[in-house]
Amino acid sequence: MRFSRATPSPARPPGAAATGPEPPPSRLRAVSGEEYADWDAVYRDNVTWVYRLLFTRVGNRPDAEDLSTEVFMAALPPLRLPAPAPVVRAYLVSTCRTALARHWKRTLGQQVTTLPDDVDAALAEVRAEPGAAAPQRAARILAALPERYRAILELRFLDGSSIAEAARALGISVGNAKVLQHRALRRASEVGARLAAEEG
Amino acid sequence: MRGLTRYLEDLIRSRRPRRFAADSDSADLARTAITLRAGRPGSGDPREEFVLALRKRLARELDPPAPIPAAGQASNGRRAFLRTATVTGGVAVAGGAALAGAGVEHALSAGSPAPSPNGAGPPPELLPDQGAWLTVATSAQVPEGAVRPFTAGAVAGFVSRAEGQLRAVSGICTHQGCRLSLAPPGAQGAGRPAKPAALVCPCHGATFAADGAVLAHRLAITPTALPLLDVRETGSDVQVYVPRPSAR
Repeated sequence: MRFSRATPSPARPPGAAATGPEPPPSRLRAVSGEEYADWDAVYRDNVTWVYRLLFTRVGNRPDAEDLSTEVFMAALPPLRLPAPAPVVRAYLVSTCRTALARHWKRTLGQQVTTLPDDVDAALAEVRAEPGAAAPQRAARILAALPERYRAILELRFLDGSSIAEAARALGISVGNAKVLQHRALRRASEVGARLAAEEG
Repeated sequence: MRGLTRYLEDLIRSRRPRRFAADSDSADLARTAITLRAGRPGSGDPREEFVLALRKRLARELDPPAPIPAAGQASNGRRAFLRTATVTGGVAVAGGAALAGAGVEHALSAGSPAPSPNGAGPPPELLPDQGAWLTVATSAQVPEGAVRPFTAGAVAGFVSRAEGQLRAVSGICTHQGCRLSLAPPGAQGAGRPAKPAALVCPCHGATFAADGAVLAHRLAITPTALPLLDVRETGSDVQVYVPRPSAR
């Protein structure tokens, strides 16, 4: 049975164009025929974006490394190769999604961050331009905040200053810096939620 | 509050954040902090040492003497191994994960037919060689005629029951790997028979039945049927055999 009705062409299906519109960033390279012959090819071509994707959702290296390990250890053994690259990538995204969900379940008990349901959307974040989406997201949130709020969050979360250093830089007491940070983070969270909603 | 403060401090110092029981408010703040931390330019790339170390670890797992069997005939051997191991080793093989209270007597796959002698052959099977039985639903959640999506470890799929037969299929389209979504059964309308639930691919609209068969597509080549997953019912749990969640 075939569909006869014409349908609008979907947003680029995974792997429809050989490597996508962007030139592949450094460690990501095109695989001949876009097919992976062995696990090593899968690993080499995908490890960077898998790590990047998970890093944007946990924000720290130890967790990002653990989760990347978990994803490849779970995904590669049952994988039948050779397999088309887009299929493998979609499979890796879905493995990332479940690994992340498990991570939050066992750490904070809440799904703090998630991955988009759409494989292309997830891949676009990290494959197209290395790491561009995450800094943009942070910058947009910061840009929407009042000056003092932005200052404390930049000092703490971007520069990695201690609370005492941040207090000194802002000329306030440590106690006030803590309060300021909490309020600023709360406001940033509201802004983030609003931006996410606008993005759809 | 205290847990969150410590969590944020760990995050800022690039340590592994310690766990705490977060409420939804703390989760919002943690999410925002993660977004900001991940926004440091250049912070998101893996360390070269990590990439090499993980590769070594994978090589130990995956390279000979445990060769990766090619698709096709090797799968029979692998399945034979699985079957035997599951029957004889039961709890040990399935690693205890999600197996609490499960008797092995009821263990084996209602859903996966033996290789059929006819030419067409059965749909391919998705059989991890290092798996575990994970509960994906309760029996009550999969009544006769139901189709239910699940995510278990690395595998997303659908469990269903038709004519008493429990089945689980992969939830990934065999064409280009898009994740299938469940189209609810069509209502029984005037002169129309009820339409069974279908699994629809968002990318090119291929449609599969709950047993994995291709119902419709508009591709040049008919995609293969969805891989079947081993499924079983223990007590009141529906379980599928999927890659084992890695220990941590």
